[in-house]
Amino acid sequence: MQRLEKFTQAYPQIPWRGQTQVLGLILVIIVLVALVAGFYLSVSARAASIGRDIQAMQIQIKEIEQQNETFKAHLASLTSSRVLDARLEKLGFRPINQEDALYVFIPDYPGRRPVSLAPALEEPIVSAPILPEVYTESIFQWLYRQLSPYVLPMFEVK
Amino acid sequence: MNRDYLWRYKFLGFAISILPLIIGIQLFRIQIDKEQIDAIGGIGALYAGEFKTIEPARGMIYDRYGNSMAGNETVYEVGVELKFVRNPDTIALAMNLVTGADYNEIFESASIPESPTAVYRVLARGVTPEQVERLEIIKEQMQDKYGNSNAKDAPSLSGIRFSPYLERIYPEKSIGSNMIGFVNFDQTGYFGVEGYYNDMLAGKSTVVWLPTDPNQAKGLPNTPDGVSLVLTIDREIQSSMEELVDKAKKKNGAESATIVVLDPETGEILAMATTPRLDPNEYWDFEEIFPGETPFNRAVSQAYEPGSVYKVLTMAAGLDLGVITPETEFIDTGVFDYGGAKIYNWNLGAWGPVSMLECLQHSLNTCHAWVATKIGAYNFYDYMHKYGIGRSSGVDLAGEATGRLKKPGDEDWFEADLAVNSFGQGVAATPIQMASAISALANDGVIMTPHIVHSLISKGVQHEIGHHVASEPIKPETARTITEMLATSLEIEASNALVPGYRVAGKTGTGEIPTPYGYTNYLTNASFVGWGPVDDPQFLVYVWLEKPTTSIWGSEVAAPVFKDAVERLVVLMNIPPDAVRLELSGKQTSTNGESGVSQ
Repeated sequence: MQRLEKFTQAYPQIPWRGQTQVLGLILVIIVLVALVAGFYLSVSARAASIGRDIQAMQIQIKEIEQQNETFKAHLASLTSSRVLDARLEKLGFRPINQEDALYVFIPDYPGRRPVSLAPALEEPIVSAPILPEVYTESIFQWLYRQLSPYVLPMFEVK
Repeated sequence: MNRDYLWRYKFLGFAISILPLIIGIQLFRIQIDKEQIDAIGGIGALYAGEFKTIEPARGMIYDRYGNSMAGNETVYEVGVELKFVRNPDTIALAMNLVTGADYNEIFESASIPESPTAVYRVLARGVTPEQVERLEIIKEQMQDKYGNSNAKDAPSLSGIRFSPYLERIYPEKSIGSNMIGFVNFDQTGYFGVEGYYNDMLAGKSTVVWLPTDPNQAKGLPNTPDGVSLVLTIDREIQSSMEELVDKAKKKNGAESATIVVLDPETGEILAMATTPRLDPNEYWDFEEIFPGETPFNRAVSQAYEPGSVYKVLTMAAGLDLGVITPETEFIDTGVFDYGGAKIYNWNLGAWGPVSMLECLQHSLNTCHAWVATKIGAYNFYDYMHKYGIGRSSGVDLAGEATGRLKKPGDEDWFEADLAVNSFGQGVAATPIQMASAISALANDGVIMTPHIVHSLISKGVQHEIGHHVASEPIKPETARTITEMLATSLEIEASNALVPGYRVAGKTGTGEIPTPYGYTNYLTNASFVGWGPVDDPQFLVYVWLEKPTTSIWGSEVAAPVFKDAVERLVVLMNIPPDAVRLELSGKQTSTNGESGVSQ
């Protein structure tokens, strides 16, 4: 117990105590700066890495788009009239003659129509999400909607 | 410490402390010195990124039922980065072996020493993915085997680069090539729809700045692909008509053959077949296939004197104006003198009293010249103008010729021109103009603008072009009257154009060819125009054989081609014979709903 008292008495008087405090403060600042720098480096490294990923994906998108075009061209070649004619001939089919044709009446069949490869401008896009009213109305509108079935009949003139 | 050396330490301390100050001042000076800013900024910008042009994929071209007529496929540009080339000989050998490129040319390009003006050289374009794969395998194998070798002549494909890009491809090859056109090496469309709609098909390229710094990486702007086109052409009909023109040209020893198939009700072009044709995948054969002034598409680019098919326009104008009726009598003496010119018939014969129906049936020049004089010059040329003769038909195809129609007031117009124009001489029109003009007769007097694009697909939305009225030169009753007259005259003549089971209206044409020394009588333009079924016309077919050698007469060479064309069309278009159709339309009326027929 006496030893502890002596130490607590002597410690404030030791000459390097003040220097230690300054040094400690500097160390704390350095550690804080290092922490901030480390954090900054970590974030910027992640940002750079994601940036590189974006660049790589952009190249990939371009490649996929080009592949798509090539596939479409390949499909078109496989379904070209020359290829199909050759296949049909191989399978034993022959072009129909006028006298071979048998015509049948099909109610509600409008006949062959030109192709529709994309929706027309005036057609609604069915896949577009339609938000329910509850997501777009104000609280007063909601309250009005909720209460109106009960309140409005009270004001009706009988 | 020795006091004598103290000043040295002080000086060293001062120098060390002044150094950061100088650096600081210099840094500040650089920041405000404009020259320095520009110079250093310029150097920085060189390495900060690059401008990249994003080329959108060229729009597709489909036929009316969605079959692809033009698309794109990935091919490669093979080049060398001169800085990294180690052995030009290996590069030239490999390229020669894999792509068949000329060894000497490749060797020369790859041997160029690198300099500020020579960094990269293109060796070949249009290299297929399979060829690139082979080159990559060779490169890899060489790297494995000789990669560590320091020998100067060690085989190496170092420096070779592959850049993918999209190239136009036409899966149907020459089918429809005359109205599709082609895209050349610099991605520019020529002729047909490729030329006419080039800007829309190509889309808009975007130039973007791509920073090297990944921290600044951003998503690329959305560059929409070029607009895609859905044509009015039916691939099957087109293919069939092309087969027919080839056959007709060969059989009749003609210089060229052309068939135009229109839907008179809408102006949609269902087929446009002509000779010669090019495989647009090999557009470099253009000069060989189209020597001299040979037009790419005769149907729109070659005007000619149509001859007697033109008579239907004269007769319709006369009927419409009321100066004649089908029963009006003309006394044919075998010669008609007008404006100083003597007009004779095709057989130099005199036919005596003839009705207008007989005039058409026997294709009498004298009679039609007389009808034109009854109409009068002012009205005659007014009608011709309304038919669209002598001006563009408005078809959406590149390179349309306007033809020529001399009119009163023109320096080279004489009174006699009225008489000769009446039967298709002294006037030049393209097959599409003739087909368009005569479509008025098949469509209750209304000419719909002939067109080849049915709809456009842009940004995921399909826009239909619609059908537009070009003019209404004659009344519906007139159209029906002349159609009936023409159908009857074909039936009386037992024409080669008649199609069993289907009633068609039509007219032959044999036009002499003008030369600097007058008209030839041994080389002609043989034509036939017809439409059907008469009570509900669904097609109009215009046939033109240029300089046939087996016979000079349209009735003998062009009419059978029309018959063949219609026999194929009715099958491809699902048009039942008249008797069946009328029976089926009775059922349709009884159900009171939309209905159709199928084979």
